[in-house]
Amino acid sequence: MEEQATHSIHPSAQREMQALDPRVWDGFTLSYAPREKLNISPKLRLHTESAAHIDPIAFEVIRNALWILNEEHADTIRKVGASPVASFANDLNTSIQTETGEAVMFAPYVQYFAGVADLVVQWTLENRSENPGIEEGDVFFQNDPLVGVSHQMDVQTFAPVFIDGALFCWVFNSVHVRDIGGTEPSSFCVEARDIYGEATPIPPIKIAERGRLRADVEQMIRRHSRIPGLLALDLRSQLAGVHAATSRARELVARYGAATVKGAMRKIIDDASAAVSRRLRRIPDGTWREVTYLGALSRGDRRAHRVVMSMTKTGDQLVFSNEGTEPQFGSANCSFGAWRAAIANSMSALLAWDHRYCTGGVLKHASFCPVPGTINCIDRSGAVSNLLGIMSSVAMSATVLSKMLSCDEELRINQMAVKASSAWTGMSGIDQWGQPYATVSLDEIASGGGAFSFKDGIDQGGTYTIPRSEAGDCEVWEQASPILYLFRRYSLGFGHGQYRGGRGIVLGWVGRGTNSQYLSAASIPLSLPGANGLWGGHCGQAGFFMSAVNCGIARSLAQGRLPASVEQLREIVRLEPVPPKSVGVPLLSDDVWVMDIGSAGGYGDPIKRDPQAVLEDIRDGLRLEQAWAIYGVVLDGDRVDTAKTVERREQIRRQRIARAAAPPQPIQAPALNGGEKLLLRMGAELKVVEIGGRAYIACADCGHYLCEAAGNYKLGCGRIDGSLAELDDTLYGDAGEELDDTMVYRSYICPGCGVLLENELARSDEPPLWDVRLNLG
Amino acid sequence: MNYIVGVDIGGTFTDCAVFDPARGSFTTAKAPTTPSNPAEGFFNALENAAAGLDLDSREFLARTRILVNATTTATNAIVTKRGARLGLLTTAGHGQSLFIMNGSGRSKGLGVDELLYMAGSEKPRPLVSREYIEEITERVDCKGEVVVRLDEAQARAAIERLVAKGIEALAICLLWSFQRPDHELTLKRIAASIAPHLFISCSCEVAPFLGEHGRTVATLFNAYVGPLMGRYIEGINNRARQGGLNSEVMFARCVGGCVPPDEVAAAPLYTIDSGPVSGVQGSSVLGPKMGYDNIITTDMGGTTFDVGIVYKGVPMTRNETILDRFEMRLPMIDVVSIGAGGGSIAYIDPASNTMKVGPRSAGAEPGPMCYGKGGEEPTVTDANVVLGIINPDYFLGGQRRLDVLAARRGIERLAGALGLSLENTAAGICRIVDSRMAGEIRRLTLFRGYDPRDFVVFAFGGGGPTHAAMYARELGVKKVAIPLANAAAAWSALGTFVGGMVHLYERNLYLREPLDVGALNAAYAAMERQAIERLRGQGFDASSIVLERTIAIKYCAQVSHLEITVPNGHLSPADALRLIDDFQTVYTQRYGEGAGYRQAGVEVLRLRLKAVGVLPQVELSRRAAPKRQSAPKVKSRRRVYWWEIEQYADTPIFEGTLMRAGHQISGPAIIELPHTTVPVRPEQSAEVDRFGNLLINV
Repeated sequence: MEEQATHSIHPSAQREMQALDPRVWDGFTLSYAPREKLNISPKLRLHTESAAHIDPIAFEVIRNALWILNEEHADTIRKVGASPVASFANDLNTSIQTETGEAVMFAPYVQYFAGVADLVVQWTLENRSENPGIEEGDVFFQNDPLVGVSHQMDVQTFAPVFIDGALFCWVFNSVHVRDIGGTEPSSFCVEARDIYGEATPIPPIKIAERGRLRADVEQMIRRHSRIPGLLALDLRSQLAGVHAATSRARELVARYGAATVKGAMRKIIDDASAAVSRRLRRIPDGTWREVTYLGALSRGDRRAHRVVMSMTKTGDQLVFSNEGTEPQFGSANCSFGAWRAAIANSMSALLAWDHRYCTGGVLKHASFCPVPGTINCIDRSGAVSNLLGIMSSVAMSATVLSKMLSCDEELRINQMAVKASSAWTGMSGIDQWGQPYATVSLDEIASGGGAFSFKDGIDQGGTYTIPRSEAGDCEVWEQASPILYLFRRYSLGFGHGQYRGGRGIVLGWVGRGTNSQYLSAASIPLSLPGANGLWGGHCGQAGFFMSAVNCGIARSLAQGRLPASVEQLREIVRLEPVPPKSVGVPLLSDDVWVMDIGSAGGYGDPIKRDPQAVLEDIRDGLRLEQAWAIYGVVLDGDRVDTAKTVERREQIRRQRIARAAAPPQPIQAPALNGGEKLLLRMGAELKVVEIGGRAYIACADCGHYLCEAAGNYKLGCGRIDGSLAELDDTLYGDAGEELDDTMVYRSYICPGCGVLLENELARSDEPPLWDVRLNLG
Repeated sequence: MNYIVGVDIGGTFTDCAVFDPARGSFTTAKAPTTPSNPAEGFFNALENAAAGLDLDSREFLARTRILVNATTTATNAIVTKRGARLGLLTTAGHGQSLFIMNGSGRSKGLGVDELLYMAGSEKPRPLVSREYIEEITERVDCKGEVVVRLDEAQARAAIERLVAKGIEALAICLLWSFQRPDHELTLKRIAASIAPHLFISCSCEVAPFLGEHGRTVATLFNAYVGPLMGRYIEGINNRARQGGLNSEVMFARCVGGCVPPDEVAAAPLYTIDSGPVSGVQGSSVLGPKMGYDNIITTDMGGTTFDVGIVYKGVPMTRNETILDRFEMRLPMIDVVSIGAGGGSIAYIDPASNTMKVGPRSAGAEPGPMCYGKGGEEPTVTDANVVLGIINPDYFLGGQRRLDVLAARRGIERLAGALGLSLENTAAGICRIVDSRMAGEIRRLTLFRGYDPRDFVVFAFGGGGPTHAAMYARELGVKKVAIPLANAAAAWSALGTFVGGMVHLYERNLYLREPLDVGALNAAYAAMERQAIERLRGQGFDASSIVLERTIAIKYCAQVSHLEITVPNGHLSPADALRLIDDFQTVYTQRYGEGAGYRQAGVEVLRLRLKAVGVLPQVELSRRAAPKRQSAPKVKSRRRVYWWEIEQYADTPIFEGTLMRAGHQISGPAIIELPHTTVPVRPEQSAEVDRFGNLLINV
């Protein structure tokens, strides 16, 4: 039997891949990517009947009930589970999916779990419906990245719900468990060269069969973990969640009828799809591209690995490609499913926010051309435990989508810059109660949100990746682990811009009440922050660590000297930077640990920022010389000197023009016979205009023409090749010291007025990124 | 005579309930709430109650022995930002924690649709700005040991700076102050010496609980409303005394029960949600006397729907509450509110072309379209009027005539857009709001391991009795009680005085197995000494003091803790083991067999003591069970649309105040009471029990 699947691989890509080998995208050789028709055993009867017209009242009532049942599913897991990561940071999610796996609803927790759930169900339908069969009461377990999971720790359990012998729908969950094997406790295997150095992936297998837990399977899974008892609890919480959701779904069907409930599910998906379609059709066609560089993919890695995302929009369809991305490396890659999930997450947040991120509807407007063997589309050997591949894909897809949305007046307010990838501290040792302990600090949750096109990013605002999550109080962490927070404050920096990026936090710890405590650090190079700004806004900062061992802090505290900030701490101790992937750093009562979780990117040219807002930033720690150099704000005492600020900003524009290399492809100003017609605004300071039947991209600030509309506006710009360190040499690190590759931070300037139009961080051998290629037709 | 009186100031109405111990009877009265000066509504309601008893208000007050007020003054001041200018003292290094909000500030208190819209969401604005926060050099660790001593000179200078800036109240919240309060208390002393009239709120006194953010918020809110509440409390008491009251007006609190004015003035924050909490409290005290131990309490008013749970006679509690998008650490009887009430607005959602109801409300002004006060959006009440369920000529006992044509006009507009009939649209509005309310009850029961089918639904407030049979049916609940029939509309007012004088003590005590019994005994003994001393000071003798101990325990590796009852008196090591057994039993009941991981061991998080000074008991009079069931007289008949049978039915109308124990009615029927309307739906029946409760068999 063949069933319609979500478009997954773009038809053109399928043709190319089929030329290589028709069977490789099977979740075993390469990542799983369903074709247009699913191959399901005729033994399995699917419930496909669905009411075409549902009374709007019944629809609303069923929609509420579905939402509550899915929330109950998640809540059950959080209550009983053993994983604090799942319970506090909400590193879990639950969903309801149609009989063929399309996602109807996800809870407001980790959203990139959504874009793989449909693949996992579809793989199971294709590969398990014949042998061993899919039957009522079965529950499947899986954590294989090739089938579709972000990393092995996010274990998934899911179950078919049968009505009258036919498969009606699926209930699905993913939970991040503390340890499922691999070379490192907690399963983040920094050192893994391939997936065989990580926790063994397990493709879909029945953990419960016809309502009974399979002891053999459960034991096999538990055998993987260093903490089998806790893993068993997590599994049970997942099974309890599946059970609750299944019962509730049956009650709903008993009450309203299968066809009506199914009809409501389809309508939820269709409504989301219609909204995405309507929005996409407002925007001109074109191709948007983003390049980012990842570093420290394994310990000692000194390369800048290029990752590419391009998105081509035609009508209401988007095609994503990762062509140009470099080969998989270290343990920070991701599978096709995870890459697709990252994109689905950004699409949901930016195009279907009012449809509860219904990925089933969103994905009807996306298809994919993945190149395998790369950082964001592994082959079967790629290691994935460190998640950077998926995180960077969330960020890159947000950037290309935001740039696309900037072309429409209604949608441009949804643009959002991105935050840097995670900085995590792992902790283990003997706690202050004399017990062995191991955990991960959740301070990273308090990350800043990216800048918007009309307001600053939200400080500690988090992201749409986990809309609801929490870092926890200092006191809660001090009770649970042998640490003492000297301070917890706003992170030291933020992505500069007309609207600045949101700040994260910086904290300082000393050890307290322990004779044995070791920390491990996971971060990325400061010089490759990944938190790109938008339209002239600068990058946010990557998280980083510093440490001081046997530094005399204990005596200072005893003498009544309490360093309450990084600056005050530096007056007392000498802080040493900690490399991005480090393990075994001690933290006892005379040691200090500093973690800054980084910040998010800014939007627009900083010299356009309201000077009063800059004054507020200064009060919150922006240095005066930065206010002068980056923002062009001059103070008179504790007030803004307006006249001097205007003057300084003019000076910045002149200096930029003077410093910039001449545009490589300037165009002649077109003759204005009959005048100029505005077609659309784009970005912060660009516009597309029509003159005499031809379209041009021009500077919105001064009107200078940069290129024809189908061209690369950057080639009509002046270009300054600088470095991130010029903005802040402490927070962006020293690329020369961190990397073997030479990086350049390019700023594209309007040759007419000196306004900053866009920045890009690139390897020096790379050409300018053609980020916007309009196809006005 | 010794009346016991409760006054609950709600958003729309101020309700008054009077218990006459001599007769064992209740009377109720209402007056419109007067937001600009709530005391007006308070005394108007008392006057109306007096009139109902054929007394003048002086005589009524003179005969009143206990008068309790549930007030929303503190909540309103916070929501409308009309509190004091604040200063805040924190531990050095943590002066930004109020803004950092543990990284959850954007999402806290947002509904899911707002939560998911990044560009449309923001953090809430804090009550105190950066310039008014001073960081104090001092540090205590989790065991209460001093890491860095308090720098008093620096602190004095900091406080002087704040006072010079003109602060009206000061909040003090240091890390671990609930383990070791002396640094905070020293700061309080210094501040009082610098500014003797400053309202000072210390976290170790207001909210001595783990978690600095929630504690800071609670302490700040308390300081914010302190001066204003002080004036309110004094004002009410002065006027009551002048009006003839011979005792002090007491105040209901969110932990249940009430306290005298001086105590509420020191910690006024505890009055938040005291109205809805009193409804749950009333149910937990009176419910068991009527034979109901497991109760879902539901209060549907004009704007919100409040749900609480009473299990085995004990109201469920919670430790955090979100107010104005700030989460604070404050123990309280658990009441969850959603925006669903008679005034909830129905509208067409353009995204799905379906109808949604609430959370936006037409409120009291302009109110539903049928009020004829300029409301232009149809509401739940309009739908009930169109369906014929609410009698437009008998709303609030006939005090307000409703405009049926206006209600029809609004709903016809929606019906046109949806392509449904007028009646099905009106019924749809009710079905949608009922399903939202049922969803909230599911969250409170099923999510916590309770099966709603083991409960009876108590329906009170103006709208609860009108909708309860519907949401009860969705949950599989078999019985709805409208407690004391018409008094149900003032049930929360009644609940203010049935709980006694309640003090709550909590001690953070972190223990692992084997539990240190000595530490448990010492901690309970210390709390009990404090409690007994305080209640004795308030005039209670040993025989009228009840102590209830609980302990918060969890499995070491797991997240959910449970509050377990602890026996009074000296605990032996065997008692400690029994506590662990009890914990495991309850855990299994709640989360299922095999859900706990015993090998990880258990840990104790904190101890709690509830000390109750027992006030005169409210004894319900009961009528002898009638020998024969009978039907009351039909008052009138009208056409009512019942969507279950998809048609109008000529429906008998009964006067609720004339119904007596033993009366029985089969649906479809309508029972009209002065302050609410009770539809008995097709295939349901209603009866009056010996206590005068109206019961619906769903």
